[in-house]
Amino acid sequence: MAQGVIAQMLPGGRRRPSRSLTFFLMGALTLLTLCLFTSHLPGLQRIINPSTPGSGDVQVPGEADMTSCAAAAAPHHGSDGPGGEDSPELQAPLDSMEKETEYQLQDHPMEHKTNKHPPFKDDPPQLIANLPQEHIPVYTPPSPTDGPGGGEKKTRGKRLVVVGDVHGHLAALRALLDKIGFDHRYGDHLIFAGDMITKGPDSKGVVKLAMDLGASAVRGNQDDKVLAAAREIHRHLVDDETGVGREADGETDHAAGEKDRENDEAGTEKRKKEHAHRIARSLTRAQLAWLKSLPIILRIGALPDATSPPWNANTLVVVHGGLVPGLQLERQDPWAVMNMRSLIYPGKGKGKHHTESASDEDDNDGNGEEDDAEERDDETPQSNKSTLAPDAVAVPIEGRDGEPWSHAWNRYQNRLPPSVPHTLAIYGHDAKAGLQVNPEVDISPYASWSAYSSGGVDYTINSNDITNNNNNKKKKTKKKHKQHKQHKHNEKGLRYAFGLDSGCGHGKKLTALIIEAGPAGVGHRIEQVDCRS
Amino acid sequence: TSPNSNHNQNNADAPPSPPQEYKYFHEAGFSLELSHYDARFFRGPVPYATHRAILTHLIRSYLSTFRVTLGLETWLAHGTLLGWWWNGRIMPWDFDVDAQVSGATLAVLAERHNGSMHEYTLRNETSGRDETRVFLLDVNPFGTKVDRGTGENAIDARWIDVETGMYVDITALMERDPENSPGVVSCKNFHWYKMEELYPLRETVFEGVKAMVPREFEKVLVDEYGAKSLVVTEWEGHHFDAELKEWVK
Repeated sequence: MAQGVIAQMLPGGRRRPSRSLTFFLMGALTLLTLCLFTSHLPGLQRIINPSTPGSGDVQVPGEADMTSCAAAAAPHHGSDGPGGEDSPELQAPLDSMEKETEYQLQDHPMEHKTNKHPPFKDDPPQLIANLPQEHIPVYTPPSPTDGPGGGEKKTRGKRLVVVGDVHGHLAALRALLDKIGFDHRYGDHLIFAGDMITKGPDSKGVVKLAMDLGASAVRGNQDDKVLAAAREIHRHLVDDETGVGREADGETDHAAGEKDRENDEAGTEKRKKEHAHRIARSLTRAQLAWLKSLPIILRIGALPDATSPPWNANTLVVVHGGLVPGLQLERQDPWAVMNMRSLIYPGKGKGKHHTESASDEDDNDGNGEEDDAEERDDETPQSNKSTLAPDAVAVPIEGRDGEPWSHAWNRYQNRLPPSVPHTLAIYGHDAKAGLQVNPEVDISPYASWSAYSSGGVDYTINSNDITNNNNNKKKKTKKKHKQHKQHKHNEKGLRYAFGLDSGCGHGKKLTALIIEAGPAGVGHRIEQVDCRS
Repeated sequence: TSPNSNHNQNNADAPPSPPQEYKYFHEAGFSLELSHYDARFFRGPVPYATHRAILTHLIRSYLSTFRVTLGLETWLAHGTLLGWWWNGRIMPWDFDVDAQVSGATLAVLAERHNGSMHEYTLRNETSGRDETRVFLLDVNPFGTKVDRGTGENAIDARWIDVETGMYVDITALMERDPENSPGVVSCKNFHWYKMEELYPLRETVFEGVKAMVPREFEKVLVDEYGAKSLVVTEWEGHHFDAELKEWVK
């Protein structure tokens, strides 16, 4: 029968094809069917899909557990792939599928691949604090028993008011709170995104008001600086007054008096008259204790009345500087959360770098990535393309040389499948970037930048190498203008990182983000006032 | 005093530098290996396997003595600061340690503690026994000079292990050009910092003891070594093990 079928298919009308030909064709058909069947298995999708970005190695779901985090966060170089402009879109469904699988895995070992320096004495007692549930905005419909008089205020419902860097501008803060009719007695709750103090005229007043209003806050880098200054002038807590118990490790600082005298002679006297120290001196010990108790991250949790993204995110957090996407809150570095503005990723260079698949494949990955990079550079000699594996580790830095962390954060949140918990971050710190609240954001892959992959800076760590250090200095100044090339094809998404530092510290504006629950669900709005020194 | 005078001091109380400059500190040799030993105390290269224990002893004694005995402020610098950033330890391929002090602190060292010897006892982690080592605080007579002079004396002081000749390089940051660069301090080895990058210092831990690092340590590291130094986990034949948080060969 098969022979008859085949006979009909053959041209020339041969009536009797050979047995071997029949078997060959049957075999081929079987093989094809098998291939089609197995190719649809999810695991093998990666092998055969040519546009999968990253190293040449196959990533089995089990091993590459951390890669999802960085994969979503890190820039994709799919724009150079075979698909050209379209490849990011083609990739998207596959990526989200990968991420869904990988995200389910408990372990996010991105932290394991980066440094871990010892903690600071000035670190707060807790990294993360949870906002008490009673402050979560919940819509309470007006009850018929409310009289005409006080009905309006009481039925308005609780609001969360998050304020950007106040920087000691008490008058502006008061004006802002008046403008929005803030009243903590009626359930409004104030949250400071750090940097309440320094720069402006009345740091002490701001702290006092914050404490009086029962406000929540996170520690900012300037708050941190004042706490360090307070430590230097021994202004912490009651214990320090007597000088007893200051050395936690038991070493008695018997030379304490001597030390102060030596240090004073050694010129620290001049430094202790600086701004941070003056503020530290002006604050009461109770105020310093309050500042010291502030967490680095304030977790608001979910808004029960929120119906749509991004405000229906599983977790809302307030931080001062930023967060590394894809890294659990508990694993964020305190200094980084207070100070970061951008993220840098490993590029190619003299040192072999470390991509994040299974640790024993390091060398292969490194070489593979470098080879890919070299190939691409040959193809596109004009552009300074550095190839970054999608699972590249993101290192947060204070400067702006890398990708703005909020861009990476927005991209990461938007790429998460709907079923996976999302996190919305409200932050301050970056006055230069200013207010960042537009609901729609660009989530295009961060194609390339040449911060340190080009220029051939020698990274020999040798303190005796004078020329090296000199060259570093020179090259650093030349590379001040970084090219942050955005992908031409702009992908849009929802904003999951809201920046509130509108430059009050520089005499510009103070911003509040007000979260309130109404009959239609949860909404937010922005209010601003001017800051005058 | 004339602008070219060798007596241009940071602190009037510090002893004057000799009129004719000569190289004060001498290393055991010029090779990479021998250049990390003080010639006077060098008895032979310390093998890789044992050098870490000596360096740990070196930095602990230095930091503790300065803080507790001398009551003077010092902080980690250069390669040592980078080692702190990665895992709070000296990087295994380092053969010396770098620290910085203020110019005023150096003047105090020069006047009151130059040539002092200090004993420090430490439990050797490998052998499990207590070890006492002796250290010499040697201040370069040209250290308190503000200008760089001939360039032979870029290191302002050393904390030297008298048994092996291994040392901590101490350099002083001073405001060397207050008119043109106010608020900028530098050492004699071409490193410049703004005061706000350093102060107020951050108290942390290094090699198991209290240590200080600059306020903007990340900027200082990136400025000196490039951003790469914060991410590359393969270095000098070592690999940074994620689980152990150690540089392993």
